[in-house]
Amino acid sequence: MNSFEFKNFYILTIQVILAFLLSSLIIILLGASPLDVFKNIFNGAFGRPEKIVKTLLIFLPISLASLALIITFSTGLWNIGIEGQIVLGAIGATVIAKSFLGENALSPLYQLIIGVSFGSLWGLFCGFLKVKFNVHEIFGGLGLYFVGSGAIIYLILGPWSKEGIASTSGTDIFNKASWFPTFSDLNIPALPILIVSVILILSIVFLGFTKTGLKLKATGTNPDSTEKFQFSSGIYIFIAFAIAGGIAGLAGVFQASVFHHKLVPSISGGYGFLSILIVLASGKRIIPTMLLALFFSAMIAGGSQLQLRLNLHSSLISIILSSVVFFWLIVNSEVLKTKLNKLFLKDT
Amino acid sequence: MELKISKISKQFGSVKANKNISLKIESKKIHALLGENGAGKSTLVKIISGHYKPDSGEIYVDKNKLELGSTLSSISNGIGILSQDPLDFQNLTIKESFLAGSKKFGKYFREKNIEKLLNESFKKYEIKLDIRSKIKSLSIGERQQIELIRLLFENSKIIILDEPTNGFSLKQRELVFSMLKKLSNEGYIIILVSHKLDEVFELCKEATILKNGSKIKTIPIPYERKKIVDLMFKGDKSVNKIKNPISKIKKDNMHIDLKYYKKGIAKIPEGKKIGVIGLQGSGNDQFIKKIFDKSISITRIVNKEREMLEKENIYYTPSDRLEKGLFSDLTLIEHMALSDNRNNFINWKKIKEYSSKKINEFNIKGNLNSQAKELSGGNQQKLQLSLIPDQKGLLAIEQPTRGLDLNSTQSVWNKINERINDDICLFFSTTDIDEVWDQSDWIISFSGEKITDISEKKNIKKSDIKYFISGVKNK
Amino acid sequence: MPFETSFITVISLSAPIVLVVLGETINEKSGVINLSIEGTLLITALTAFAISVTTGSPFIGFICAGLIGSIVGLVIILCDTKLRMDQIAVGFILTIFLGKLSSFLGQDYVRIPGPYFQKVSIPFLKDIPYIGPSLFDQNAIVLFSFIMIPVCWYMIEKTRWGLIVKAVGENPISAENRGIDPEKVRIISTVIGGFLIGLGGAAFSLHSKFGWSENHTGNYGWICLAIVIFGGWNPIRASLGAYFFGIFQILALKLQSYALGLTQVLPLIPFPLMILTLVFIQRFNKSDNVTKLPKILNLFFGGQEPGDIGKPLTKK
Repeated sequence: MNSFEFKNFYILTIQVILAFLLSSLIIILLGASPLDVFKNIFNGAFGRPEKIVKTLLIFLPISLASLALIITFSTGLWNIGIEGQIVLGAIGATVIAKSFLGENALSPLYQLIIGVSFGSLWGLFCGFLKVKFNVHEIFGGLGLYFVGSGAIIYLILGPWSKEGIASTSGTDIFNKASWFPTFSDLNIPALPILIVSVILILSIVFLGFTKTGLKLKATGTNPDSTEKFQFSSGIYIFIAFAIAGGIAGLAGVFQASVFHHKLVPSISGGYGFLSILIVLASGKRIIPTMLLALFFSAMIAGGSQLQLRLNLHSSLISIILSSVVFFWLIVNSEVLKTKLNKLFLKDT
Repeated sequence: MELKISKISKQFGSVKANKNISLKIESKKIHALLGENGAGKSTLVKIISGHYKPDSGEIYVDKNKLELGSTLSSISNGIGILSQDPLDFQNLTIKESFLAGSKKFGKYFREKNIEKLLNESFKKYEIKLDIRSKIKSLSIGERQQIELIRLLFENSKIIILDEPTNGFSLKQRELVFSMLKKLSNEGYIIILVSHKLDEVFELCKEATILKNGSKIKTIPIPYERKKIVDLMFKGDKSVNKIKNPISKIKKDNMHIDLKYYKKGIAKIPEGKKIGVIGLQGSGNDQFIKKIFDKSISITRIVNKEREMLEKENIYYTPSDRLEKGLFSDLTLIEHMALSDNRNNFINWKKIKEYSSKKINEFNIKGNLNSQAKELSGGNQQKLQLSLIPDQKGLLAIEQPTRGLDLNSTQSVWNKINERINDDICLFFSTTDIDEVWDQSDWIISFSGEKITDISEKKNIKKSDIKYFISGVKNK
Repeated sequence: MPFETSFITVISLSAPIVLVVLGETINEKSGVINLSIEGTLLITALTAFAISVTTGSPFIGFICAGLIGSIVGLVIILCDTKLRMDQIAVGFILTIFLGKLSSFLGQDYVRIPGPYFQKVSIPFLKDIPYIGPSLFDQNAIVLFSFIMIPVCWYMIEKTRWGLIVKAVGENPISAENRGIDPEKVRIISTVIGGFLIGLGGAAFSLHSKFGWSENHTGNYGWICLAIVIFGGWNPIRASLGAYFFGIFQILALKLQSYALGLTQVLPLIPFPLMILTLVFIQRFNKSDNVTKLPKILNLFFGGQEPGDIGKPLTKK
């Protein structure tokens, strides 16, 4: 809805350049050459078609998690439990893959249904604790996340352990029928791409063009006014958690059946937490969020090259990303903005 | 001992809240600050307590000059405030609340001594509370009593009570008042800020009346009550007469069930404008909210049958515009979309047209994408009104013009008047006698939590109202 | 005596957690949530180990870790009071930033030997059964962590400063009305709390989980946040929670051979307990429900959340 102004664009460009300078500075401080690092990241992410596919495989769950978080953040909720919702989605997918349905050609479909419901239930549980018992969603979410990780470890070492020996390296590889169909030699995951695109469009419509979406936003800005508009903020908190949990669950399904083809203990890959960074930086807007998600995915995909080529630890990527987001939030904090405005824009 | 206030002035924006106020208050004479809402009482109190810094003027405690705008300076000069809502700590114990930030007990923080001292003084003032109990388990009256004792412990010699008696039981009030009288005789300076003349007469020996930010005069108490009321309220000349169309068609009576107020059923014809007047903090705003909640039920005749009014036909706007009535971060157009009830999909093009029309019609200064929090108070109020559906309904509006300038006030009323003939009726609350007189067909008066009068306007005189709301009988 | 050995191990193993929950309790008492513990622990554990390896003095490493913890706390509180940024957001970003930074900077210190804290044996005291060997025949960190429990309790519950901290965490407006500067109080508490958290991080790498490896204190930070709530914002109960957690860890180790997977699952017990505690706290604080729940539960699950926790200070 915001009108695009040249001045905003101008400021945005400066901020982006500053962000790059900052990351270069960090890289130098950590003892590497920014040019080498950026070149390798770019090559690692987009250098060859297979690499683009790998970047895409990372982008799919991250973009989903980010969309889920936009919905909860819009409703004023800190859905830190998103990691748990991803985990539950992955568990849901594995339930199908490990059952007799795992050999069925429709296995991916069943996985989607069960994975999304598991994630959604986990989100709803958090919402239930918040609305009914006033338990802050951060702590409820964290608690449920770790309950989920407990469950996943138990399942991997117990009921779903590898044949012969239980190991934390994960379950056996799923039956091929449970993999999501891909096409061409590059194994392009067509169905997941389609699903993410549909969810993206639905999110845009939902948040931008429905009253339910608007009411979520309204609940987020001021729950006390909902009474006058004759709707209940509690119900909309449930709705937000149910939808976000479902989308996060979907990300979990992809992690299990599209990326790893098995269940591993760290199935979420930390993507839930990374997505929180994305949405904090993008200010809850969908398109910038997707662009940032793409940027993050490329950094992660390319980052795995750094170890090999430059002997740089892969954590460098997250260091850059988190410090840039921190810097971004500081520069965009209301207080600093007004101060800077006073300094530079005296005439307005 | 004496507190000398000399030529204090304070301006907020274009509003002169205090104009050159000078005042001398001595010990042994409990002093009242009287005035209607907006007279400048609470500004003056906040200047004395150091929360506001005045634009000019000086304050002396005996010979000591206060450092203005510093709460610490006020506290160390012995000034203590008992505010409207007790400023204490719900989850701490009584003892802890006494000690938190205490200047006196800072040096020796030893348990036994303090407990003994507290228990002794509780006994002295006949307070039967365990000092280990949590503040949140107490009533507001008890909390105020304890705050008062705390001020004494902190060596406050000047105690200002800023309308603290809401929530006091009769017994507590008696206790506190006898305590205050005793203190006054011991040489404390006590200042009571109040609307309630009964209280003032019971307690005070002197009163200063403020009006429009200026001091009118200091009078001895007792004094003729009627004269005090006349001094407190503005003259009868209404600066800006707003036209009020009176409908001629005879309409059915609504029945308004007032059993919550221990009254019967009020019968008022439909299509009327009913003003609910009371001083700030009285029950008048709550009355409007209760209509929306349906704790006050209203029935009307539809097709010759008496029917209960449904909630969806009650259009309510609260007085806390940004906190309870609007969504601070949402834009104008988003508000319009929310109050459109047709279906779940939003046709932004249509809403845009509709919103532009409404913005024009209500003359809201702001564009489609302005957030509610960016609007001025007047425009927030206009936005609230513009969100009311066009369909016939009952309007329940809290404080329609509070804080608005003359132009906005005028246009708000024009907008309400335009539609009222087709509506079921209008209930509005206000603290302004001129407004209630100019705008209402019927007037419900509140003094404190009680309804003191319900009359059709033509049966009463404007000058009666101030007595109704002060709880003074005009006979 | 296997039981006594286990007892000693629990006290010793829990030393870092005790320090961290004490620090965070102080933070939260003043109304500030330091969400960054997970990251702070990692970076301070690394700092302590790296500096003690470099200087040869574990004591210097210990103190430096505390200082880093203080700086992290300071960043969070200054972003909150000066820039009006969300405490939670800043804490969260720092969690990720510091955690990853520790992985990067710690590469050269992975699994190398380093100097230990000397065992402090106090004659006579060390012969007291149970308590003696667990406290007075251990290194200084264990004794220090144990001593800090009553010290923190005393500071919060029995001193003027503690009362001011509680008052600010409860209602900064009332506090200001009494001439207290809430901003200053919060800054000081966050720095002190951060110092203790930093020492907790050091206690991992210099004591209970000696050395350094990537993600060395993995997930303990989140667990500590849970234990603070389980402790109902009371330093003593929070420490008991920490020991309780230590028991789970020992149990998990002992039962490893009987039931596979328990090692990984048992340490996650604090989280459901935290949720339960929060549910009970809300129940107990709703006056109309008090009677319905047995009083005894209040002892374990009750507690009083600071009234203004996590909220920014409102300017006058």
